[in-house]
Amino acid sequence: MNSKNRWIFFGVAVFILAAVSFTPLVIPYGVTEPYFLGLPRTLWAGLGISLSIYVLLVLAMLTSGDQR
Amino acid sequence: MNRGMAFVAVALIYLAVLISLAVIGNRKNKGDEYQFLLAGGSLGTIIGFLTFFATLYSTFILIGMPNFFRVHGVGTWIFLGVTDMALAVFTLWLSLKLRERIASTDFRSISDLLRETFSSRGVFVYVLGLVIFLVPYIAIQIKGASGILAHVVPYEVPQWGWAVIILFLMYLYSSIGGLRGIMYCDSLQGIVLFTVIWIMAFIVLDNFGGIGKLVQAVAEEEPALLSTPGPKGLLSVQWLIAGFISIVLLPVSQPQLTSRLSILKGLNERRKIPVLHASFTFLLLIAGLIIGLYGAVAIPAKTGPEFIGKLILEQNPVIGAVALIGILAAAMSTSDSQFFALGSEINNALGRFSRKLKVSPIVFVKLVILVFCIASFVVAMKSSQGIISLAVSGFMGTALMAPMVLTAILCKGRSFNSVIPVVTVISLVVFLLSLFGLVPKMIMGLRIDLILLAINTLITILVVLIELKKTNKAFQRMS
Repeated sequence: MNSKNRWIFFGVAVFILAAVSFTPLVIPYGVTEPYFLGLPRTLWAGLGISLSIYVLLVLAMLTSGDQR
Repeated sequence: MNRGMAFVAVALIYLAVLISLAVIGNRKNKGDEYQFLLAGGSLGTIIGFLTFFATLYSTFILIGMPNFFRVHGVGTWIFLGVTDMALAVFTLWLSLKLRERIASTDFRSISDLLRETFSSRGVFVYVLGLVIFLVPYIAIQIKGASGILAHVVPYEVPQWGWAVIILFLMYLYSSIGGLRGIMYCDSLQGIVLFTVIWIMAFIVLDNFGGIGKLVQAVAEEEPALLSTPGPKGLLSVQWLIAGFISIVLLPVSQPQLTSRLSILKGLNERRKIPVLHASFTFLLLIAGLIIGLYGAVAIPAKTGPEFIGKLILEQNPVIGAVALIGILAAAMSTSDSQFFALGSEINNALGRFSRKLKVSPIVFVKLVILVFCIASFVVAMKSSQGIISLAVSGFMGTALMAPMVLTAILCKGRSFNSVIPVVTVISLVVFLLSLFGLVPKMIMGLRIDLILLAINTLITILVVLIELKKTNKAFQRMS
């Protein structure tokens, strides 16, 4: 995958993850269930999405080295 | 040791280190204009990361962010946690694009790129937008920090006195060390900021015996904090989307961040800094979450400064003193860079005005910073509801300029007509009118800032595509 396509992939993936975080899957109105590790739904789901974007960031960083 | 003595001792050590760093910066600059304004254009990984981190995170992160969790609950994680990770990805992409854009050019400021792409009209719109939105933002920060210091420090110094001290210190080290001095001081301030917030979070966690128990206590006290839109109903989907866009675009809409990304030494720095930034931001937000949830169950307060003031008074004198210095550091680390960026951009926007006046650019930038320090002081002390609206909406205001700035970064070697600057200025004016209640804030159920940004972006893309088509046709004719 060339640099341009790679960045399209990362951009679309981050966009989808961010978009999901604005849906009732992550922020259901007034709902706290189900709890996970003692944390309410919005919090653990939000943490999960943040970590997923972080993983994408690390991948983007690792694959942007060949521009050297 | 009592509170007063602890504060004076910590403050003196802090000041001594701050001024020493500014002097080191000054010596490295050797009186050279390029060194003073752009730190020689070769920023390394550690200083680059710390200065980016400290500049991005103002007093909001120390006062506003924990208070946001306290008042609006866990939905704040979507507003800040998800957004800041996306910001780091955007920062990585942007810094690589900036590297391509400014390669083999004599980069001095974002205004130069805008002048190349849109002539002086683009520069005028950009600088005007920065002044309108950044000065109230800085003023509100100074007001918040000086308010807490006046409330918590056990000496009879009024709020305006603290505001003068903060602005004077900022002016002092900025004018001694230039951008290099600012970045060294920012690095110290970034470390102080991160340490302070985690010390307080550790103490809170220790008191409660873990985050699970803290969440349990919140569920009993105020269950609405554990879901969206929070007890006050603020964190609606549109609000979160507007926050997401305005924060993610900060590296391109705030000149102090764009200029730092522009002067990174090489590819490695550009790759590593966003990842370091995201890692430390994640930890910083976790600390803010812990402090905020603790505040929700243990510290009743009407405002953010009151909450943080009470939290500091709960700590032992030395930790309380370090926390107060952390607030001072947070207020200064963003404002100094914004002032300096404004000074550099205005100097370049006026076509290196200093040369026409036969004044050295260094002296001119120092003068501009002084003028903005005085203006911020006046605005901070006289702030009205309108000014507060400007400050709060500052990020969205500058985000409206992002399509124009991005075009200047991405379209190297092309020049455009006035359509994009005109559309940008119209969107800024309409947005300002909406802040002052002269235009509705919602149209057909949609926020006006989102509508303006969408129109602005669409027109910009259209103009760029038309220009590309024209160029391709001309190229085909030639060949």
